Amino acid sequence: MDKIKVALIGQPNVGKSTLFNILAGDSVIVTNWPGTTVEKHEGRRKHREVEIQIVDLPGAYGLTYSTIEEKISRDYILREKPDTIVVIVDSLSIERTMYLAIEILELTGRVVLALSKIDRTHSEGIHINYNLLEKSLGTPVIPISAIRKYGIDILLDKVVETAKKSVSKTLHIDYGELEDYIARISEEISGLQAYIGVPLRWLVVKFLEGDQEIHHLIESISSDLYRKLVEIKREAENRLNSNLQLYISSRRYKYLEELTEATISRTSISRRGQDRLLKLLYNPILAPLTSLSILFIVFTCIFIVNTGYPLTSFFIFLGYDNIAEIIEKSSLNGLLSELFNWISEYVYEVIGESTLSKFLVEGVVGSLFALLVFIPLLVIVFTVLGVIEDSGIAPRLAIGLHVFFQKVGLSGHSVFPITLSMGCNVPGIVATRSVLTAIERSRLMLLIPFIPCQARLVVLLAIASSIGGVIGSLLIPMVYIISLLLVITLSYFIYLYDRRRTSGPSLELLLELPPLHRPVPRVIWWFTWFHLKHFLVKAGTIIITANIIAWLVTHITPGFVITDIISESIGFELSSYISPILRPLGIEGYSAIIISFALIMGFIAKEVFLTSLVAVTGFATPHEAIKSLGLSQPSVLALAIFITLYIPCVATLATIHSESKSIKTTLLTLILNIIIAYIMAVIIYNVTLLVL
Amino acid sequence: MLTNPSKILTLDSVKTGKKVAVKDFAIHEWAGLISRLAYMGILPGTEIEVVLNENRGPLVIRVRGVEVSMSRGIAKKILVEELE
Repeated sequence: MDKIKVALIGQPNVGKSTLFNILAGDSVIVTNWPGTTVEKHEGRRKHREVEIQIVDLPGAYGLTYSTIEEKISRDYILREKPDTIVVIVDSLSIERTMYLAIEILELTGRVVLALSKIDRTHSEGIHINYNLLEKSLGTPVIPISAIRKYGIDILLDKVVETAKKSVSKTLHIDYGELEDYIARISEEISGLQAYIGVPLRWLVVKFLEGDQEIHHLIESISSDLYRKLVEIKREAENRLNSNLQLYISSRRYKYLEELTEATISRTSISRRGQDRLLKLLYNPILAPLTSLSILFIVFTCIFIVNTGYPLTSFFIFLGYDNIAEIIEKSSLNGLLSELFNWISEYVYEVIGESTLSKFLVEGVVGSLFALLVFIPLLVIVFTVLGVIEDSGIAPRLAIGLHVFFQKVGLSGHSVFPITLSMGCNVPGIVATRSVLTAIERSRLMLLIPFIPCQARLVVLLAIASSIGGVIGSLLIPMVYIISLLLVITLSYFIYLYDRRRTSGPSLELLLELPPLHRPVPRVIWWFTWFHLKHFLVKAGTIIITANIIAWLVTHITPGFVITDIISESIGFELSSYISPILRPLGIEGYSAIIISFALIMGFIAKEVFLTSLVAVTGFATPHEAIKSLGLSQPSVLALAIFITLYIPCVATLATIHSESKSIKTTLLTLILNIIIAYIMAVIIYNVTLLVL
Repeated sequence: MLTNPSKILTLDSVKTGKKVAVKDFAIHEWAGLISRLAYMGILPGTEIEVVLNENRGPLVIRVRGVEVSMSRGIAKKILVEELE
């Protein structure tokens, strides 16, 4: 069987990923491009006895050497020399998205153009003369609709055909006044071209554009030659009195304009519905309100479906405790815990209650469930994220909010991750993918663990009810306000620090907005499934492992005997060594040991802080357990702050690691959290001591 | 196209709904920005329609059939001329 190597390339938003998924299906492997954090997607497809290896190159606007995505794409094309390159062009905006195709055609003739989204051209009033386009470019032009799987076979036929071509012709663009200089430089470096292995003309034009890689290359080969060429370039610049890169890009666009005028006709159609929606999204007052309302409603629904909260609190508040209970039981979490109880009862019946069965049930199955609990939450979140992104609403919402966030060094894109984090940090961290720059993404990931999540709210509620009174009711708002102020301040300082280190505008925005359209279910499904799989594999292993270790540590004594009594376990013993750090918070003695233990357990999940207290003190409810510790009010307040800020739960930490792929970031987060939490707790303790 | 020779302004001061043509860039330090703009199709001579300009926050423009959002900092460096 023949084997060929094919690369997919295209500008952002043209539908490249959709096509890639249609072509490669289940065979997709995701790794990283060597030495980068950019994901590499590869797959395979068999087409009429030919095995096609497909690589999805990162979205790039052109072939300069400036962004990491362009570097990767260009390096791949030049070094790996794929048999065919499929350049995807968006039929709805050919005048812009074909620019990349033109650059690539100047480099190689082994190209097939795929015009995507063809199913929508008709409703947009666009008519394309494919034959003329094909003839003018000298390259096969295939209209496709990845979503409707239209044109795929023909595309693959052409891809195989092109791979087997022996000779390929490149596109020749007329560079007007530069042609003389191109000729002169070509003469000087004609020997070099064979050495580098690219078309001579392409090399020369890139040199005139000021391409970094080409300049370094030539200089390293012969500095005399290099100097000569730089002289010619300078002459050209003076003669044209213009930035050469601009001139060259303009010539390419001129070619493109003439091409599209000849091959594309547009009839105007009514866009009134869309324009009205746009007006809403762009209105400076309505936009932020709309964004926040959408986000608020969505997240409330998510959390109600998941645990019943806050609907349950609402009913409890009204006095309808029984309704609240029903809601909680039928929520996803409620159902999952029923399932867990059923399984544990079954196992105990069959195997009997022994250490092994306990380990199996509580340790292994329990850990598995700790992971499963996240799935419904994440599925809903990813689906909503997918809808907002695919429809084109997301970037427009971000614009409305950009101004507010810019002041503290974040862009409007961070609103989604931040709001999500108030429910649960895990999806919040995953959502940072929608943020544009890597710098901002790392910054957000450092900040998110400081945002109080639903689990922490539960802990705070227990603490608040143990104090009661005015202070008790003020506790929660106070903690939230302090946390959010902390996030804003930290963000601002990290922003200043980053700005001092890097040059060039860091928060400048230049972003293409995909056209608004009805989201496509299949695309959203892929998106959701892809991210869920990613989470389960990467973060999942860590979460399960941590839970198992936690179970072991709380069920084995220092003498390595299995025990049921928690206060005899290694874990508890460890806490007695740690408990002295609570002294500056006014917590000492046995209470300190119990609390340290609960804090360590809180690493697993913040609610486990409460369940540990209950398990050790023997009281039935968390707030009774807290009361039994006899802490002073300043201590309780300091503790509340500490618990809110001290460390992200293991799920969050695992997600940070799998998303940032950097141990450094993960450790930094951990350390930063602990230090700041401790400092804040000590401050709060002393301040309240003075005040109360 | 050149209606009034002295009517050259920066993109960030163009009102919503107006169409302009790019004259030049006032970018000296950040050369990478020029190529980014070029790749968006924003070059001298290119026609731009300002879809949204609220005098604070990013602008939204339409260029070559595509909507692009651009921060004010960048818009300040693009010299344009109004089209009638």
